[in-house]
Amino acid sequence: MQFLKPLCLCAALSVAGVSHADDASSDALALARMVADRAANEGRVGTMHFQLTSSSKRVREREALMLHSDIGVTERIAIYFTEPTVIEETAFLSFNHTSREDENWLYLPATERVRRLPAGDRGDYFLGTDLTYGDIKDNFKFSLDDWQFELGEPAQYKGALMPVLKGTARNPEIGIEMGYASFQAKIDEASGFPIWIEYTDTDGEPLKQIEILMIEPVGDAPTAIHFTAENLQTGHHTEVRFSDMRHVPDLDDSVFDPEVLAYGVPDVD
Amino acid sequence: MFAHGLETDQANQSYVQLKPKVTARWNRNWRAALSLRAEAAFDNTGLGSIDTFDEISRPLELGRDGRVEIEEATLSWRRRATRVTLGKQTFAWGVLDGLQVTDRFDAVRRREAVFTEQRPERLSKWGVRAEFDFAGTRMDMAAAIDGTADQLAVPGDAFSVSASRFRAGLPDNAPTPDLTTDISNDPTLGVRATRRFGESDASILLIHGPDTEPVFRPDGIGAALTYDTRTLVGATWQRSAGARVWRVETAMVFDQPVNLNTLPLGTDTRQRWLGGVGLDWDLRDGVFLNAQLGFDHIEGDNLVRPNTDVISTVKLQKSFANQTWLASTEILSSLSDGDGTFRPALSWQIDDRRRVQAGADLVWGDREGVFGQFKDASRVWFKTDWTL
Repeated sequence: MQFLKPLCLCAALSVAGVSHADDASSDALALARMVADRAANEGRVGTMHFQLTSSSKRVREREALMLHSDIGVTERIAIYFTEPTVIEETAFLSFNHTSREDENWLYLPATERVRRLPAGDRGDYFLGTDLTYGDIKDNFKFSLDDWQFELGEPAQYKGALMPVLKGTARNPEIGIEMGYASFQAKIDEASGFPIWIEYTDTDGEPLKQIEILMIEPVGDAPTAIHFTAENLQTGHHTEVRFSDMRHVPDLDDSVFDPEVLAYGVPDVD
Repeated sequence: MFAHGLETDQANQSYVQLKPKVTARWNRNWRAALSLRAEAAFDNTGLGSIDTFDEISRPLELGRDGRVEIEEATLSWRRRATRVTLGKQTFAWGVLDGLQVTDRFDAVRRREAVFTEQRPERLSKWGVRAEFDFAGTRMDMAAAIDGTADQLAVPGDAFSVSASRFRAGLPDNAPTPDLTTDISNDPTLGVRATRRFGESDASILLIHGPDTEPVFRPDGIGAALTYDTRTLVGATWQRSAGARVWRVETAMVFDQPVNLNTLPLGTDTRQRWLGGVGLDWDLRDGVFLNAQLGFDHIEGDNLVRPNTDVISTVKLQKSFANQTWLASTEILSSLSDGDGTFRPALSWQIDDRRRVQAGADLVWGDREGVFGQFKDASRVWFKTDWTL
C-alpha cells in the first residue's frame, strides 16, 4: 500500500491548494459583498457641482439637484440640472432594479419630451463627464452579478494600509456593456467605500481613476460627497462635489415619476 | 444661421434669432415663464407665413424682415405629480421622432420644411393643460383656444411647396391662385392616458380640433386655405430591451379633410390611417442609431395625393471629446415616391456658451415628391449659438 502514500499526499496538497484558492476567493467575495451591502439611505438629496476639465485645461461647470432613494427592490436616482443655461432643465432618471432590467429616462428641453433610454447604455458617458451612466447608478459598488473578484496585495493609501479588491468582468459582453474589463480598488473598511479605483478598458488598457476625497455621514449612511474621475487616456478630468446633502427619508414618489422630469426642479424639504 | 443653395448659387436661409427667456418661481408650487423669439431675415430669404397664425398668437412684424413672437407665456401650478399650466404653450405628444402619427396637437413651423435641427419645430398655442395621476394612470388633458396652423414658407422662398399634392392638385407650372387663409375658431381638445407596464409604456389619446394641414376651397376668384375640424384617436407603445428601445404609434382620423382631383377645388372627408415603428439602438463605442418607418394612408379615390405614403428615417450619431463634438448623419426618404434627403452635420460645443455647427441638406427625387419638391433647395449651412 506504500504506492498509495504519494497519491494521498498529492491529493492532500491539491485539496489544500483548492482550499487556499477558495479561501482567497471567498475573502474577495466577502469584501465585495461588504462594499455592496454598505448602508444606504432610504432617501437623500443634495446639490451636485461638476467641474469638467479638458486636457487643455478648458473648464466647464455644471450644477444639478440629485435625489436618491433606495427602497430595497429598486434604487432610484434623479438628477435635475440647474446650471449652466445651455443644459438647464435637462433631467435624468434611473431605476436600478434588483430583479429585472434597469430603466432610464432623459428629459431634454429642446425636444420637450421625456425619452425612455436604452437600459444597456451603462458604459456610455453621462452628459460630458468622465462618469458613465453605470458609475452614476452603481454608487461606488461593484455588482456581484457583473464581476469575478479576487484579492490583491494590501496597499498604502494616504498612510493607511488598505485591502485591495480586484475584479474582472464575468464575460466580454458584460465588459463591453460596462465599458470596463477589470478594476482594482483600495477599500476603506471603516466606511465600506472603494476609496481609489482604477479601471481598464475592454482592451485591458488603463482607462480611468476614481478617487473619493471626502466621505460624510448622511443620516445613518456614509456618503461620498467629494470625488474625482480622470480619464487616463484623454487626460479629461471630472470633479464632483455635493453641497447641502441631507437625509430625506420620505421622499415623495412623484420626484421619481418619469413624466414629472418635464416639470423642472422639484422643491424638496 | 446661414445656408447657401447648391442649385441656385444663392443664400437660401439667412437669419439671426434672439431668444430671451425669464422664469420665476414662488410659493414652491407656482412658476411663470416668458420666452420670446425675435428674428430678422437677410438676403430676402423670408421668415415664413404669418397669416397661418391666429390673431392672438400672431408675431409682431418689424418691417418686412423682422418679427417678435411669444414662444411661451405660462403660469403653472404643481403639486407632486399634478400640474396645471395656463397660457401659450406646446403640447408634445407621441413617441416617434419627427414622424407625426399621434403628435398632432401642436401646429408646426414648416418654413424650412423638415430641414430643421429639431423635428417637428412646434408652434405654441394659447390654452390650458392639466396633468395628473389617476388610479395609476397618467392623465394629460389639454384645450387650446388658438387656431394657429402650420407655418409655411411663402411662395418664392427656398422651401415653398411646389408639389401638386400640396397645392390642391395644381401642377408646379400652374399659376397659384390668389390665396387667403381662413383660420378656424374651433378649439383643439385632447386627452391622453399613459400607463407603465414594467419596461413598457402605453398610451391612448384623442384629439379633436382644426387640422393643421389645409385644404383649398374656392374663394371668389381665388382660393382659401381652410383648416377643418377633425377627430383623431391613437395609441402609442414603447419598450426598452437592453441596448434598444422600441417605439410604436398608430392613429386613425375619422374625418380627414382632403382635396380631390375635381374642379373647382373639390373637397371631401375621408378616413386616414397613420402608423409607425421606431428603434433606438445604442451601438458599440457610443454610436447611437435611430431608425423609423411610418405610413400614412387615406382611403378612397380621386385624391390629389397618393393613397399611401411610406416614409423612413435613419439617423446615426456619435459624440467625441466628452460630448463637445457631435457628428451625425440622417437620411429621410419616401419609399413610396423614391425621393429623400441626406443630412450630414457636425457640431462643436466650444464651451458652455458657444456652439458652432455646419452641415448639408442634400435632396434627391422627383419634383412631385414629398422631399423631391425641394430639390432646388439643397444647401450647405453654418450655424452658431451663443447662450448668455
